[in-house]
Amino acid sequence: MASIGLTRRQFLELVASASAAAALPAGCRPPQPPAGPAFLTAADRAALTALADHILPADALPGAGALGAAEYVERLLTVFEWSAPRLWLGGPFSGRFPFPAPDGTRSADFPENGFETFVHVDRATERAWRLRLYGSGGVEGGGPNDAVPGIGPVEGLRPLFRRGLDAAIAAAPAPIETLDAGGVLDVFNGLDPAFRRALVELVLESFVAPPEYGGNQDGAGWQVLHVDGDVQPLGYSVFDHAAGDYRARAGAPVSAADPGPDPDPLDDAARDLVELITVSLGGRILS
Amino acid sequence: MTAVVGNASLATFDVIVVGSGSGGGPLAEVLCRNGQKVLVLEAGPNHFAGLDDPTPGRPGTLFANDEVKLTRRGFIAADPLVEPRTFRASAADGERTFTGDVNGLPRTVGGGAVHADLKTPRFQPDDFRLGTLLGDVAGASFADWPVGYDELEPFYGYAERIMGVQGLDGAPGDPPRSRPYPMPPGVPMYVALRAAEGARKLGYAPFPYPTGVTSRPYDGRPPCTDCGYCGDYGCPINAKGSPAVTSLRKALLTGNCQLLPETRAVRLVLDGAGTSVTALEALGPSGEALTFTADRYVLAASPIEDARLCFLSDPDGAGVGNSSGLVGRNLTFHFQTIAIGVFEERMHGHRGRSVTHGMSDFRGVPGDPARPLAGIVELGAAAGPLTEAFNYAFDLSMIGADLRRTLRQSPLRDRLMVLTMQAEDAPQPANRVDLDPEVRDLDGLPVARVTYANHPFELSARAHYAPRLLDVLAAAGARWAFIAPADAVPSSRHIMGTLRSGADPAASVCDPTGRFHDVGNLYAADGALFPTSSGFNPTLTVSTLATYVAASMVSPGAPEKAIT
Repeated sequence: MASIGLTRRQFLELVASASAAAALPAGCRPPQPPAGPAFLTAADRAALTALADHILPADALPGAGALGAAEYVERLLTVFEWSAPRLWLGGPFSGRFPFPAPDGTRSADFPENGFETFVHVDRATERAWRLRLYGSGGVEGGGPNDAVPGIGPVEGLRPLFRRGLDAAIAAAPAPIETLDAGGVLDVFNGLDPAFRRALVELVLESFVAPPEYGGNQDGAGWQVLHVDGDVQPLGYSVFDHAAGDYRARAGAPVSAADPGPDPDPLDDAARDLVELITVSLGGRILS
Repeated sequence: MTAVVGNASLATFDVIVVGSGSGGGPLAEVLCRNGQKVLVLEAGPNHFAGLDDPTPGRPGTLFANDEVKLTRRGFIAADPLVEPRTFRASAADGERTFTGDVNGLPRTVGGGAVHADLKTPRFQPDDFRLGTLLGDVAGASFADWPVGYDELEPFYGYAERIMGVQGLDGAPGDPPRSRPYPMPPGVPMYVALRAAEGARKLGYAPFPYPTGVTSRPYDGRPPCTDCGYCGDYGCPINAKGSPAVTSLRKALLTGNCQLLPETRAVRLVLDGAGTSVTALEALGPSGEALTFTADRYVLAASPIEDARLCFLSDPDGAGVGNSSGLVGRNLTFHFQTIAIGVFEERMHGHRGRSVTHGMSDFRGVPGDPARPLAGIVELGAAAGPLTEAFNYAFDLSMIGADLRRTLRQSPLRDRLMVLTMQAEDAPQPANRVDLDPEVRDLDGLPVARVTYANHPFELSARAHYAPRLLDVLAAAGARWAFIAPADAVPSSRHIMGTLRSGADPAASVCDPTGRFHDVGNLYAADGALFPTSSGFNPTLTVSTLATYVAASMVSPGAPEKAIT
């Protein structure tokens, strides 16, 4: 699979008009208390939830904050605060989809949820993630290249979030979750750029990650994006062992166009965006 | 899982293999089936349970449809915070211009094939003779391979059977083969069918892509279910023929193999004359120092890491096996041209195996300026929703309601058709791997530095075929079509060269059977041996060559006997 390879440098100037932020009411549920080691205060959680709903606001379905972005962030920042690291979910299946039946249909047999456990993290990965979370100053011995100009030291996500959230809350004229859309936008635009980038990354992750990581509650993020999430072990092509060939899964064909209407057809703004990208890269507008 | 896998009682070994991927796995399988006692060292973790358990349904796996685990949290990756590489286009740029992920392959049991969507075309007969067919190309170092297609053909067939390859017998451009594909093509993706339809309108000849993924129950593995988490992911049901669940597992089941995960080779110890390896030093799962010995040693840790180990093992010299001065040089990557079409309608590329069709029409003809050498074109789909979200948020600074609405409409994922053209990458001595003078890994060892710049050979091929790729997208019905910018830092994940093989010790590092000219009991068995890159996905040829190397080790002069 390929990414489209667009770079920030190539598009920032071109698409400013297409990227105006607009905040919508989030319709958040109250932020949840931590189920394990805590990093966020109640005020942090409320602020983070409001900012997450600014980044991916609600429409007919909830925004990223309401789907658990704060929980997702907190669980990541506390990965090493447990007796064993909680970085990687297990596998191979979550139990959301069943096994295929031998006749090429969906069986009624669902696998156990292997996503409810976390798995062993190797030495190199643990070292890397401790650096990523705690920073060079928070890890004995620091990073391997702290003294190399242009590379080190590493600023950790935990100190970055601590500093960023404190600054955001202090700069806001009132608790961020009580501000109107324009007020949250002002706060967001005033965030430290490194914190803002990290915040956006983790909020987007939270929206599409398996719900066991803390966000995307009940798979609602996937529903918003019209994707099914972890579809194994059923998948989309179900093998009929008697016939010796595959059967397509009803409603989700692999080899044919989707049945039914497009759930979210392109609008003019999306067309303009693609056209802008195409022109900027010297491509072709074909019809 | 850090436990010893396989026969834990083995204490002496005939062969030690560094790396468990597309080179190390097939090599170990051939050695073990011929009675050799083999120790495989893998730097990365083992994400399989019961890899050495013959019970039907085993091994279990921890791979899953989890975009975060695989693409954001480094489940199979070397983390650039503690295992970076550095990059520069030339020595004139200074010590480095980039530090981070430079064409990193997975660091896990099964190696690079774990994350690949495992496209497995064979190379063409002419690909082994480009030194002769192209003659002198200024600034490049094209050379003939020391083995040809005919000699390798039985080993291609063997590698296909072990891996379990699906493909269409008689497909356009398929080179001669002595056996049919082990399995027929699987379910075609809608986006690939649409692309193929467009290609045919223009007179091209697309075909189902040979792929190392099951399309039928095969060798105890289930048929692929087209879950869509293929490229960049390990397979949750072992339908993908990663070496871990095919060749390496077979090696382990012989009782002649022991696998040590999370064990990083850090130094080859040579005798006083420098002509024989006497031991291999490694760091174990907790960083403990370990020393292993065997009669013979094989490097199969990827071309970049193979060369790095040669340099790490001779810090005050030129590098192990480097009397030719060619260790690390002639590094090649496939130079990919990616053409992207955007459609009004949804193409649902998240259902399927990432790519199900290809076309060889842009491979070109050696020496024909009207048909420059490029490579196979993959007809496929786009990346996952998180990649799409990052494109909008960071490349386009899109946040809020605009971001949400655009994600729902998904113009840059669900409506994409992606054509990826591989291309022959002209080998150049100046494109090389050496050790960065300052940057270190988590254990304080110098990391690999890649010095690499494109040659006009592949740049002109891109210029020639890029408009034709856009023509295909237009014929397929795209509304918008463009060429993605070329990588600033190589990321094709197709890595070749650095220990070039050949008959002449002055012009190559390893001999035709993979043995170092300078070091009698040291071998290479992966893409490092490739004198040229071809224009076809390298994985099957890596496995084929590793099979050939192993067969030559156990049956010198008559390697076919080792696989019959």
